[in-house]
Amino acid sequence: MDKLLELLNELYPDVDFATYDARTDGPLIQSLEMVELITEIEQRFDIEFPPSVMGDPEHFYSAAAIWALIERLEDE
Amino acid sequence: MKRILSILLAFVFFCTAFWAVQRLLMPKYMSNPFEGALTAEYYRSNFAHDLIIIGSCEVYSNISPVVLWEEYGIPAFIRGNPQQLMWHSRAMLEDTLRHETPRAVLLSIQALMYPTPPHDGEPYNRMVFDGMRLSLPMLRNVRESMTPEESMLSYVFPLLRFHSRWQELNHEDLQFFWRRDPVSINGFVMRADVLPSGWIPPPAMLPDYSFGQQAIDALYDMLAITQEHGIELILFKAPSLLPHWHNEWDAWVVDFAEQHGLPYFNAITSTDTIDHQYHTFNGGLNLNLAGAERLTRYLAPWLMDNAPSLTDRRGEPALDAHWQQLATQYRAWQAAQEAEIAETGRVYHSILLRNALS
Amino acid sequence: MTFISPWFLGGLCVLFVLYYTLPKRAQWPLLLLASLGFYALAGWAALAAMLVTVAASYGIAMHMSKLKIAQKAHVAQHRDSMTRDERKAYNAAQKRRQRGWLIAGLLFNFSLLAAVKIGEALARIDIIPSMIFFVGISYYMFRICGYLIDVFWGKIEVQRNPLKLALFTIFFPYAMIGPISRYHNVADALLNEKRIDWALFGRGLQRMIWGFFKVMVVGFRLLLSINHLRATPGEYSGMFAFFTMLVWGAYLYADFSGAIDISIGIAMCFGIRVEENFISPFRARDIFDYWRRWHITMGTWFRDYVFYPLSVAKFMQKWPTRVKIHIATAVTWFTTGIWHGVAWNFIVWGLSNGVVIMISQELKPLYERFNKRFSFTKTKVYTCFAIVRTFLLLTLIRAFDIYFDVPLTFRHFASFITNPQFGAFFRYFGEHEVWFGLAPLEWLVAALGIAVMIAVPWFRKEEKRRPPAIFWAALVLVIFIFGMYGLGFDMQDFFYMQF
Repeated sequence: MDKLLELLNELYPDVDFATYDARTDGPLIQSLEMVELITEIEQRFDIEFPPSVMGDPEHFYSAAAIWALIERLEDE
Repeated sequence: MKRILSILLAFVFFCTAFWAVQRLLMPKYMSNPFEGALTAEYYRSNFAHDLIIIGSCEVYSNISPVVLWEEYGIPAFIRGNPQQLMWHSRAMLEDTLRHETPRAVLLSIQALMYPTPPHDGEPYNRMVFDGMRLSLPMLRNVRESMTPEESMLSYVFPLLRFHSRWQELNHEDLQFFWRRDPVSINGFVMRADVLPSGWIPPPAMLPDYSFGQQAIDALYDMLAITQEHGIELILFKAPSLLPHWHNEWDAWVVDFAEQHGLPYFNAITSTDTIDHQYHTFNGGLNLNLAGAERLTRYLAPWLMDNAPSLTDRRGEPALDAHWQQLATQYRAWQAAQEAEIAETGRVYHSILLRNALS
Repeated sequence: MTFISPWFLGGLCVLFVLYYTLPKRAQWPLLLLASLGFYALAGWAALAAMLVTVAASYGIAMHMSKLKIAQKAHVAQHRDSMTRDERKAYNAAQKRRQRGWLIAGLLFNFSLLAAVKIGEALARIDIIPSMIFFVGISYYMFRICGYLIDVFWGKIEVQRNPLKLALFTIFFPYAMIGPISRYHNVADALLNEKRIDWALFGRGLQRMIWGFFKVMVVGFRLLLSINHLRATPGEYSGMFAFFTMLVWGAYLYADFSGAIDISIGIAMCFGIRVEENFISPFRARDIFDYWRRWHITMGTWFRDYVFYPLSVAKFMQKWPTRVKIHIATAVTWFTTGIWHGVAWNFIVWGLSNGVVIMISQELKPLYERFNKRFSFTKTKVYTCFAIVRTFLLLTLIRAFDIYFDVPLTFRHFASFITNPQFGAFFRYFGEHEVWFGLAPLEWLVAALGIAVMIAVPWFRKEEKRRPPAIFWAALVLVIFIFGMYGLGFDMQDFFYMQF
């Protein structure tokens, strides 16, 4: 989780991901940036991201949601 | 509850506004082409006519009901429209029967020559039906008259047809929102001026002289309707020079009349009283006032002879009073037209200024 | 066959009554029957092609799903005996098999679509005389292909009833013009048994009225002018061409978003919520924002099924992220262009969007620094500037679709600078009684209609305070009077129905 927060803070230095929630704070990650984020996560966590999850906002609305997804994918 | 009330209110508002806007946007047919107002004029009559005359301009400017009454005692009404086709005539007959049952019907058969609704027939359809009261027979006739582009719905809700008139609204639409001026006297459109006939092109040979099935069907329908109601049906052809009435056509009508025992009056062959140098206001197409009165005097005795149901009704106080009024109006219009002709040589304003005269 | 016909509206009323009075289990079959009927009116060949597509897709989806179940069962059974690597290898092999089926299905569907699109293109340049008009083919192809991919991804459960799948594919409100719904968003709503929800029904009716207003009062009116301006496109350059482009933008929005409003409204009346396709697109601040507001379901379709898979695809992994993004963007917009038609103007239109997006993306850090440095960028005035800038930019890009002629469009762009004809343009209105095919009064109505469209941004009002019933009654009356329909108005199909 810390590794993920570190990465998110690199990409979005202005956002506090401890509290950020796209459902209340408005969308943050846009499609082009999503590719950046996914690429970074794939490299740092050594997992493979299926494109199917990229279009689902429910996986990306907060740092915790992203972390849950990563854990699920690591398990596969 | 409040919500239902607001919906109800909106609904009432919509219906009222729709009705008002429709009335405002419909053509009033009070100036050119005022003939569109003819159909509705019937509903202002007394519905006590022994004779109903049905046809196109070949009847509505050719036969004078006032002469028919004053000299022969026949109360008559002309239900005519420009370019009235056979199925339009059937609509007129069916509409009339919703209000009264005349003793006899004089039907102009000239429209037999038109086989199907013409492509440019929409304005004429509208003139026939715009003023007609909504009824099932009317809608049935509308369906048969429509051009492919028209829709039945636009006869039920004329706003659908005339909505784009919002750009053309003028004082007439406001002036005649509630009322209409008369444009005829019992369906008779008066023209006192003269435009003599000039050169008439020789009639073209036709490849085929048979009538269209739709027109013939309408004629048979009218025959059946009149028989059913015990009405005498009389066929009539006006003495017009144009469009040419072929002998082959006439032979068919004569044959039809004989077959069904109908009297047929062909004014082309049997009259020498009409002179198209003097008795026409549009070069031989239609008769003017003088021509119409002459033709009426020629036609009426024949009618009395051939249609036994027609009797002299003069002396009945209600009818006398009613026709007295119509005759006064008739004379006033005549005087106004003659005055204008004396001044300008033609009739223009006195047709449009009927309001002041009636 | 469009929404604007008394027959359609009459049939719809009957359908509403049946839908809510028949036994509830008859609801979805009734919708399917109505949809098939609606589609059959577009032509039997089109219906047959649609049914073939649905049948093939159904079979393939079922098969993929069977493979998936077997795969899961196998993994579960051998959970303890397989190492993680073995499991990964097994899953990958299974995935490959499934992918094979997916590709076969997509190829089948898209070759049918391509055949139709190429046929259209050939017919346009008179190589083949005519073609059967496959209305709405792109829309249902994209829905069904999205479904196939989602099944492959395991994102949704496979639909075991082919008739239910057919209903999802051609549900008639969105059959011809969109939105391009996703299975997981609408399937439940389509197939559920529903009791009438009067509030939703009322909102649906209002939405339909709003759509009819946009289409009939504004869209069709502007179309008359567009047809005039398009008839002799060479004559109208400079300011005239710019004016054409502005009118085209207003027309396209009124026509397309209006038709979508009708679609969404009808679906709501059946108790079915489908996706929004427009959210005040002309308030976009940049091109990214614009494409999140205009034809949204098309944008997200291409994002989810082309852009994302491509940008994280294995063969792209060795390249830096930026290169990946650019390649994926270019391909996405190229295919988006092609989707509209196999014609240069659509391709150039798609690529222009892609180029502008890539440039904007590269300049983004610069913008961010600029915005941080200068506080005026947070003012309303600057926001307005951004909106106008975006609007103008997209007005230019959209111009490629007006003339179906790329060189001519570029010549018109050049004429803005070389020969803008300002004087001639403003004199035109004094010298003519009819302005570009429309009388001044008609322009006034169109302008007022646009003003109403701006003043009542539907989307924001929907969930909050909405206009009272009397407003809608008045709007219906306005449509009756000022709508373009009936004799003398030659109705054309929605622009977006051809796709």
